[in-house]
Amino acid sequence: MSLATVDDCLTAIPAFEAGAFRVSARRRVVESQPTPPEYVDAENLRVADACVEYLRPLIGELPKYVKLF
Amino acid sequence: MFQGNAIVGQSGGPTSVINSSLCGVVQGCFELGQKSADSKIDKVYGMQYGVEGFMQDKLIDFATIDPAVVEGLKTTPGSALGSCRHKVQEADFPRILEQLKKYNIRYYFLAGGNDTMDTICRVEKYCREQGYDLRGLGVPKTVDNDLFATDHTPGFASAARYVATSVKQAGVLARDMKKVDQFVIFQTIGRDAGWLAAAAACAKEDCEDAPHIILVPEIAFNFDRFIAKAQETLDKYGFVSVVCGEGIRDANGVVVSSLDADGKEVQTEKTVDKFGNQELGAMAGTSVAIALHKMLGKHLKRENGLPCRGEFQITESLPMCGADRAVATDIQEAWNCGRRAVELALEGKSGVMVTMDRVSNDPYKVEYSTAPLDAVAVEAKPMPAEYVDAENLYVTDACIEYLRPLIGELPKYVKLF
Repeated sequence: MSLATVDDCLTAIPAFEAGAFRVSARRRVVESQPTPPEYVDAENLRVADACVEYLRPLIGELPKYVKLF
Repeated sequence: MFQGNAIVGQSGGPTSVINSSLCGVVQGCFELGQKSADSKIDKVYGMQYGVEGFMQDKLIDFATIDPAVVEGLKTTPGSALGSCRHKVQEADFPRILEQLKKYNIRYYFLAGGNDTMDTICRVEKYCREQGYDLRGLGVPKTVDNDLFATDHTPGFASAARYVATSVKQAGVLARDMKKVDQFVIFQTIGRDAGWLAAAAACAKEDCEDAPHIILVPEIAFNFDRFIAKAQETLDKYGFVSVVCGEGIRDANGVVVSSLDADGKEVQTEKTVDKFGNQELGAMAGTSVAIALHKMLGKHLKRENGLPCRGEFQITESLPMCGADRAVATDIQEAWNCGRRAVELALEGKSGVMVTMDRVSNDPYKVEYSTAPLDAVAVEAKPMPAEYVDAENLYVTDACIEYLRPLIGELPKYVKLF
């Protein structure tokens, strides 16, 4: 079995739409994946509920702590 | 019959287990408060934000708190009552006494470090002078482990484990990445005492393992010695792991965070806290780890003569609240100290702090005792000279022997080469 080169991968992956951005196949393979625009709440300087929904199953349950007030 | 209400507060920086001490006090008051023949505790109050909140009528009545929440305090980090760093002044005493009378408080419990013990000591003395019967007891707390009269303080073991685990894991990474980055500097809290920095030594199994250099406030920083030891380590293992206490100073008493890449003092504006101590680390917008980073970046040389790359890790208050790494024994000891304070108060004791005496190292065992508050309140306890290896910028085997039972077993990792 021969290993695929980056160019093989580029041929196999079509360009795709991500929100307002058109990301080229080369960029998709070579560069890191940015956070999709729908995951970012730029107005409130935080992330969107969709982002939290994506993250929670990866992170798992976090410890629960009590509060006195 | 000595009878009245109890109040409990938390003061200074938190630990992962200070709420377990709070739980011990509260549960102790509820369980034992009505059982003694000659002393009784009725209501149990908590001070919101320490003595500062107490003077402002910010109290919690624990009768209104669900017992399950009180139980949950055992494993909740932070200071659940809220903390403060208010240094009690003479002018505060009449107001404090007025509040004690208003809420009929006869039992006064505070968890904290030496400044907190000083507060209880002075409040208790003032009340005695004013003819008001108050039993004031201290519950030890500090991640710095710098209280006199006790083998160690609740909260130290968990913070020490946090440091040891972090340095061990970061050391594995540093070894594997040594072709890219050649040094790593981990800064611990600890203004005057190097206990937390020393705890990193428990991470080492082989000579090659991190840490290689431990810089503690008890030993004056020597620039030439530091660079020479770092270069020697780099030449031998290909990477250097340095652990430093935030309060290290040179022989002239200058904080190392004020030194430049050549070890010379840079004149900067000094900031001080409420107790008049010079702010260090992030609180002063500076850091000893960054200063050491500049020194190593400039003076360490690789085999090929090129300068070295490295990183610094400054966790600041994370070891104070890393409850996921809390040591089970530490949680239990913290609770025991709180509970013991209540027992002592019901026995008529006052003006003392609960202490722990280590009676055996293997198996590890402590017994609970007391020390007068004024003996604890004076100053920070440094590491003993026999725990520090000044020549090799490290700690001694005796120090590691003291630390290991507190920290517990660390994770084991494999090596391919």
